Amino acid sequence: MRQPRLLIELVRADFLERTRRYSFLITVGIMLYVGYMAVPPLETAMLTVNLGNMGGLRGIYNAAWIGSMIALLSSMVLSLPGFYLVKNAISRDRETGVGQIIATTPLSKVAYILGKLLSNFVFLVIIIGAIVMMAGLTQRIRGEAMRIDLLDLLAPFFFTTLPTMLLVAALALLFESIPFLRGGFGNIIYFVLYIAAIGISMSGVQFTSQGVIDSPINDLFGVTVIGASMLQAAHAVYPARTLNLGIGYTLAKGPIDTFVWEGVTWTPDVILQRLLWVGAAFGIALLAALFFDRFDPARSSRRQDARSNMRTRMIAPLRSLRLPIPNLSYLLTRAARTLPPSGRVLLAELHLMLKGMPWWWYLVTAGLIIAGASADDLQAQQGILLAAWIWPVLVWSKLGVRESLYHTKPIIFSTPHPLQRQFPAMWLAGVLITLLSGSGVGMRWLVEGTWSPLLAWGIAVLFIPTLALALGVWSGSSKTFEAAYIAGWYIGPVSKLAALDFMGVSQAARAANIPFITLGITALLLGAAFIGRQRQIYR
Amino acid sequence: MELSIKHISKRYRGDIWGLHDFNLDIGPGVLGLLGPNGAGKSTLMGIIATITHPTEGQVLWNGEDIAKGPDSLRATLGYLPQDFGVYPHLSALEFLDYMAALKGIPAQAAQQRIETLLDLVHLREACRRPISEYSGGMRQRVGIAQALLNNPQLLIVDEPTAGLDPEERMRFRNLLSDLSGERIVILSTHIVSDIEAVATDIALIKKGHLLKHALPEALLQAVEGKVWEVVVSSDALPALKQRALVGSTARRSDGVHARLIAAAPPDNGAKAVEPTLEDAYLYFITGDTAEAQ
Repeated sequence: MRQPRLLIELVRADFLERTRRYSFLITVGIMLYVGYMAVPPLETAMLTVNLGNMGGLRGIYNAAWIGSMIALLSSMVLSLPGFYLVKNAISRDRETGVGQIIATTPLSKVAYILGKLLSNFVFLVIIIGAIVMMAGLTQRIRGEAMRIDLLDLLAPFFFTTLPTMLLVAALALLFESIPFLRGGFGNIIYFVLYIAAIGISMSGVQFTSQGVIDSPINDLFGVTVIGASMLQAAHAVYPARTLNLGIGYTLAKGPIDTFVWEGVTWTPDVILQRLLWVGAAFGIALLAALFFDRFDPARSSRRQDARSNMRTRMIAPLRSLRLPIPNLSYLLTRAARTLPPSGRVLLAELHLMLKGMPWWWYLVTAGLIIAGASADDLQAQQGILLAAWIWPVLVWSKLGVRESLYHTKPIIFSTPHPLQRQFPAMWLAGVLITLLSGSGVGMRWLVEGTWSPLLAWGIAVLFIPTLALALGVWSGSSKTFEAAYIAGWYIGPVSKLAALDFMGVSQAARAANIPFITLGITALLLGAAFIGRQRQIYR
Repeated sequence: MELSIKHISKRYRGDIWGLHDFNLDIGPGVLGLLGPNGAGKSTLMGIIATITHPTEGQVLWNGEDIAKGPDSLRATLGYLPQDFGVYPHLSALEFLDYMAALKGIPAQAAQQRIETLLDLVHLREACRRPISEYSGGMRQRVGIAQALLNNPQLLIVDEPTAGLDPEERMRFRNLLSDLSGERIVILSTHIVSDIEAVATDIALIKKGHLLKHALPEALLQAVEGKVWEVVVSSDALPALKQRALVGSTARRSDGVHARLIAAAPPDNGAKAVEPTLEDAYLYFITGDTAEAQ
């Protein structure tokens, strides 16, 4: 009897802790807006799910179409920020020290992890709930089909989105339980997994001359079940048209055709396919329980000792060789001795940003600089720049966060002129690291006179650390920048979506003056970061 | 050198007052700030350290309002908060270098000062090791060193001896005594013996109000003739606690030796004893505010 009660209390405390924050209200607000925007107005040429290969084709906005469309989008889109939002359930207990108290209760490791799984899931379900509510409301607002059939509206969420969210909740716990996946490195790994899962899901349904082919077994997001049903219905109405399942905002070329789609028939087979993901989620949670250290400080210190011993063993032979290995700390300290305080603060900020990075990080950075300077064609140079400006993501993400992370606010904010001395130094250190990491390509473009990409490069040098600083100061967490930047980097510069191409990699972005818009946004972000820091200092 | 706190109030969310119409004038010496948990000590120190804005009132440093121009005080302020962090990847030397630069200390002066402080807080041998490898007491000593970097005229230390072993505690008390001559030191702690050892005057705070600001001698005089020791059996102790304020008890072979604070002898066998600062603290904190004032 005690375990279920402890479990419920655990979920309750977690739920209250998470929802009694402004950030929760903001998240729900954003989700309501996303839910509304996911159903574009009838008079526009915008589509979020388009079945037409040439021209627009969609189902009429009835409960089945809207419910399925938004369930699919939530499943695919929310899996990324949702993971970052809930990946703090164990770390919060660790940081607050509550974990050590919990560890002394009779709660078992499995029960604790299941409690956290439930808590993560409940949090994500509330966010989904806001989207569902908005979906029903939007159907009435758009007014193409007035009857709201609750079963048609809710079933796709129930069978598609919720299993995905349970899996996301479980993955967040697994990443928190495995030490090397706890931090920023884990965030990047998850992003890579997410992109791969999207690719697999989207390739699960295809329209060929033989009709619709679907293979739903690897489909985490439920794209195949819904997509195949939509395509089959469209094919029945428009047999001569070539179809294609397109998910995401698109602008239809020409008029948009519509058809009536009554939704997926949720047969036991289809439901079983989705339930497999629920089983997988519980499996992952149990795996997380296996790795979970139950807040044992000895286990983390043993790991630290092992790392330290390994480092000593690796470095000892190098030291005996008496090679002139540069010691960054020593060089910076020596250089600082002759500088005025503001210069020394800048060097110290650089030192703080880079301290703790492993030697191979510097090696890869140097490799990317050299590769950028030696690459010959523009495409290769841009590819290297993309790599060079994702590599320092964990260095940038500490900007504006370090004082909260290490509880140094009171001693740093009570020093003279913190806004005039430390804030600019911190920002400049971020700019210098961005400049240095992209310097290979930048130098090459400067020498070759490749002015337009060079201008965009220069603006990105200012934009990236400013974004990190603003998000860090306002959110107090390095995760916000890591999630936003990785997603923006992938959608914008990598996928060459001109509107988000802040590096100006694509010709379309440069032609649309995106670099100048980025410069304006940089100025606004810098202002926001300044105001945020001012608020932190004078609370 | 003078710090004047004029009608300071601090209201938190939910209409909770951390401080209410607080007035205090502080001159050179060590001011011991004593009060129970939640009395408002940390709020007061946050306001004086320029990191918390008062809702009402002013704090004047040599006549200048620190809310309007905090940097003149910050240039000469040393602050050791109760909960503070350090950067774990840095060594003590690197961390102190960083803090010295933030405080605007010229490079050479900073080097000399850091060398002196490392000896003073006994971190010379460990100064190049990452702080993540330090014990709690060593981290606390890094905190003490950073507070003293700019040779502050105003030094604010909140529970500075927490986490220190008895020898380190004694050393820190001596250090505070040595420092106090030409500057203002504000020491907040629950440990009355720390205050007893170093404070030149004492401020008692309760529920956001200043209860008493006096010399330690004056506080002791106020309880003169009001502290008693009685020997009772274990069974009689609960009844005694109902009748009088029991400061401490010690079980001996002849019974329980209870130290009591009361205006008149609570028992025929009660023997008047020399009051300590702890007795005075209990007398003022547990007594009625108006009566105590």
